[in-house]
Amino acid sequence: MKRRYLVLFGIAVFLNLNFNSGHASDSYKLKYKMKKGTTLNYSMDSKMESLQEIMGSEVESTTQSKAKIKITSEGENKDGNLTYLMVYESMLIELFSSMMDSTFKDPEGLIGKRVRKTITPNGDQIESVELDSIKLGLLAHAGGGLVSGREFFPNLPDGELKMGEKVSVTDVDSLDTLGGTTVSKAEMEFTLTGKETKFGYDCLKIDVKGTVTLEGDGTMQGMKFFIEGDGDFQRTLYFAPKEGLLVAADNQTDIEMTVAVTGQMQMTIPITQSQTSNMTLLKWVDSK
Amino acid sequence: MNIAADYLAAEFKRYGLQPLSGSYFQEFNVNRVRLGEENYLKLTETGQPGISFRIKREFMPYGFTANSAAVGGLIFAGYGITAPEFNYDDYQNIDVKDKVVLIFRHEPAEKDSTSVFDGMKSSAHFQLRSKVENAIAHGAAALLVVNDPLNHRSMRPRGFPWPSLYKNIPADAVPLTLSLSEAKKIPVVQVGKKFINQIFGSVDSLKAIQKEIDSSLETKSFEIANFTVNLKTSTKIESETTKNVVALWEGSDPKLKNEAIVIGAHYDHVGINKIDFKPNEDNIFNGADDNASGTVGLLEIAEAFSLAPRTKRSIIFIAFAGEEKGLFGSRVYVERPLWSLTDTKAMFNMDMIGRNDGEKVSIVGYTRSPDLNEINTRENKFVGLTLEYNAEQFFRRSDQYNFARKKIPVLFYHTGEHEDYHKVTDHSDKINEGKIAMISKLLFRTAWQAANTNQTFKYIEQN
Repeated sequence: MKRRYLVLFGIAVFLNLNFNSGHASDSYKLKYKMKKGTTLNYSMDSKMESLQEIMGSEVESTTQSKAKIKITSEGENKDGNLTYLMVYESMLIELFSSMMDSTFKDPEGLIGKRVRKTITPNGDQIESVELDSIKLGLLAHAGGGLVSGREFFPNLPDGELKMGEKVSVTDVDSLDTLGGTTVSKAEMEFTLTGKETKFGYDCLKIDVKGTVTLEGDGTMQGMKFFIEGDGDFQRTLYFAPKEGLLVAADNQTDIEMTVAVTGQMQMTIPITQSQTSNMTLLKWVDSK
Repeated sequence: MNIAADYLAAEFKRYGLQPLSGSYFQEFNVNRVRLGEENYLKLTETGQPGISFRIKREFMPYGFTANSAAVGGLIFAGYGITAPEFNYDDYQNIDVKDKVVLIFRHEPAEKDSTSVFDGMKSSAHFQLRSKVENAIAHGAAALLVVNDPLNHRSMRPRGFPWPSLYKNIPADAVPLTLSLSEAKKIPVVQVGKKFINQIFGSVDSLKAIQKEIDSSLETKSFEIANFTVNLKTSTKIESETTKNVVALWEGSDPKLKNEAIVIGAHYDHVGINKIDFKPNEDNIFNGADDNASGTVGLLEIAEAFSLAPRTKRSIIFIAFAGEEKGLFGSRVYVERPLWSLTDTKAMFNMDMIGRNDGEKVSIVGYTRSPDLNEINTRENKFVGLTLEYNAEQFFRRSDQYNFARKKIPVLFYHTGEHEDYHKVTDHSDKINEGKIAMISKLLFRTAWQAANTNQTFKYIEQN
């Protein structure tokens, strides 16, 4: 049978699957589901340690953040893609470094500002549009803590996931910012390792391991900058297949990158970043 | 820069100021260091075939590595720190002469708020450069650096990101560096997991050693028997010469004239917009405020002193080069002073003194130099500026910082950043000349008082 028929067969099996039936094939086709009006409230706690070397001196900083984000579904469009609004309801970022300590609490330029995102049912981001202008100010330099939305809808493999088997996925993402574009390419491996009840939801426990590369450029204050880097990550996803949503996720990412500046001055800044984050679904209100 | 330097020297001469050491110019070299062709790291265990490591993935030279090779036995020396103030010395009980030394980055008990190494803040021993100097002082032939795994997850050998090893980093992103002396250099590279696994079996074994050191603050240095390291790092240096402009107004008191007050301003800016060059548009960074304003102030103050009765102490006027590249000119001056730093009693710096509203100026360094600040506050009664004390975050951002590093009392005069900062729009028609005149007058009066006393001014060190 051709691959797509296998996938369709798998989906059919999955849809008929009773979660506790002990079905012999124990394989799953994962996809996100959100009816129009559904709301999801997530918390995201993150810690990022960053070490930069600037002009011969190493500067270490730690950023700790706690955020509450609300996702409101606008339903499915004609292409079968899901559209939702993402809003920060609260945010606390604490930055500790040898140069200064700062705290940002519920910054005005971020809280309540809406971003509309469109994703495919397996998490590929199609579009992201700021409906309200987000002004980060000094937060842009805080490092860590800010979410893109992909944390709540990480890529899911196209194919079926069978218990214990690995599925490889490549994801390319680009971000237009600071007058340029940064492209990240992640090569990851999904492994379905078990089932677990998490916060009252029957979840599949999925381990994801992978590597990521970054390349980008931009312009800031008349200076051109270039980014290149790579890193590793490990995640554990708790996905509720019946509800079609991510209930919790733990993430660990280590990246080595270089930011090079040319123009008024020339600098090459090596940066090491290690991030740990935990994401939890606090509340799910399904639209009737 | 040469035209500007000649102009400044001519003005100093016209005022009757004298050159120091026979010239108005203090020249120095700035370098661009690029990675050379031949770089390798090989590890051989007695009786076994040697193992080679790949550059970038498995080892990476640092920017200050030597252009040389080294072969030697391997010694582990903890964090590579000698800190007698904490009764801690990783080099005690080992002889690293002509050996290749392996050390951790960072410092013991880095995440411990009660650590004698400044708690969770980084002490001076944290910096890699001090470890390199320490290794050289102990006779090491080469230095291998590894990330300390207890506190840092990533074991990738970061080293210096040489543009030639990257696809997306342009070749001209190599920064200018200062060449202060022909001090000895040795090959210095960072190594990663593969190297550690060869020596210690696993990163966890290395972590256990680190844990022992951190928990007891007792050093655990030892020879790693049966291993020989053979490494080479190659660099190519491109050199350019620039210069500070320095002039002396000798004091009148037979004894006090041997002491000097320094007044400075940098005269360099950031050149031409090569990256986003727009034909038929303004691409020149004129730097009217940053720092023609300060340089003009310097000249006006110099002329004023030349027209006034001689002060008891001498005054040295310095127009610094290379400030925008990393405070190069002032660093050169304090490392190769033309006047004894012990006999340099104060330093006043002007950097951006011609913009922003009102007759306000920020006085930076006031908590570190309370005596100078007191004089400045008193003299301001005759000038009438609004003195602000809200810009200490700029203390390390201009040339006074290098003098402060040598514990010389300093005050920095600064009217703040603005929308034209480091842009082609920093033009002279936006300058408030009256403000420059007032700030110059205040600095003149303060320096005058400082130069007419035998008081030794306090410098209070702060983080």
